[in-house]
Amino acid sequence: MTEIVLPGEHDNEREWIARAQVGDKAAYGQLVERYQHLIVSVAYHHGLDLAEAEDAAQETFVKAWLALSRYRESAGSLRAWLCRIAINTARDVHRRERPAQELDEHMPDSDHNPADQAEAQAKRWAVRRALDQLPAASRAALVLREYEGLSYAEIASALDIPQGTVMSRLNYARNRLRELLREAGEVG
Amino acid sequence: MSEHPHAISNEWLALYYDGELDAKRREQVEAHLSTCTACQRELAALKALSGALAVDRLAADTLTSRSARFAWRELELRLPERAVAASPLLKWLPGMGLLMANVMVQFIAVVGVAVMLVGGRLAWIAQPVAWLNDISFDWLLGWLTWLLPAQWSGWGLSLCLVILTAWLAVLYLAWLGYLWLDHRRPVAHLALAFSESSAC
Repeated sequence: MTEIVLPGEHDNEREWIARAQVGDKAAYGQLVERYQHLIVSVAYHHGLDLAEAEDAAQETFVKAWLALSRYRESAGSLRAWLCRIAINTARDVHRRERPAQELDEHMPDSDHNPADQAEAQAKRWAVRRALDQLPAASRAALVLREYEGLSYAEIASALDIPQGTVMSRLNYARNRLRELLREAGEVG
Repeated sequence: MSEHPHAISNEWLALYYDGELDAKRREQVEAHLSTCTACQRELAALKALSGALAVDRLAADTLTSRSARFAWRELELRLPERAVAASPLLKWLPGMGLLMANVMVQFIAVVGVAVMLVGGRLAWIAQPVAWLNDISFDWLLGWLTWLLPAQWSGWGLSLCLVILTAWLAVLYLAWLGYLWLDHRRPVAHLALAFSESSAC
């Protein structure tokens, strides 16, 4: 089972948000540091390579900075709010800049031999291709759940849909992904 | 995933796997899982899918090891300066002040003139209520008399109050207009708002 971590509950995230909302860049820097991996990962799993995902993350944080004064905790967690902006930004970048490209060669693992790396690369290819074939809405729910560990409530907040819809989209995405990966020989 | 005619549905298994069930239902699912091989297979399939997806997970050190581009310094330079937002109290203070002043002037105009007229008439009939007339001039309208020509009557005072009320109303509407203009977003903000609202 994926462990769900809820940042902001036991530290001074609220204070950082409050300070950033009135223009404190240093406080915003703390939030960026906390969520930059999450945001890059969300963008990356929406069809971008790592370099594009990093650019999309920067764009996301600039947009979030501009809109932060309108963020309210009652509308959902900050990370769900950031994910929402990141997903839209990644989709924009994907539409705007990305023709069909080779898979990014991120994270070369020097501890493994070339044969292992090639096998890992092939598996990654298969997963990315399968994710690409999912409908955007189902893919977003699946990515937020499987890769980022967001709860159903947070996914609902990030995608602005009811929790029941989150459940059905996840169910569909998992079923469809299993079919696609089975065809690719990646799951039994 | 295959459908299976059990008390525990696929949805429940997914909720269980994702940690979204409460303790009571979790126990129910676990009790069922201990005896049902079909559900055990379904749960194993969910785990296998997560395992397959994990090959494309970004490692925790991906950014620090590779991404010199994603430096806070660089991002900080891209962040535009943002005016410090006024506190909600300060934001609403001018409007509330104008509104309250308007209400107060209307109150003085209506009640003061009414008391002046009624009190003045009643004073001829019944001496005990003549003090209303004094209150009217001394406390409600009297303070304005030093501003106005000596020959102005009570009607002049009330006209003055009506004009003052109208001006306060105009100022209040102007403040509302300013607030509306202040809330209109630049193009970038509008684009962001659209981007946020179109998330699906």
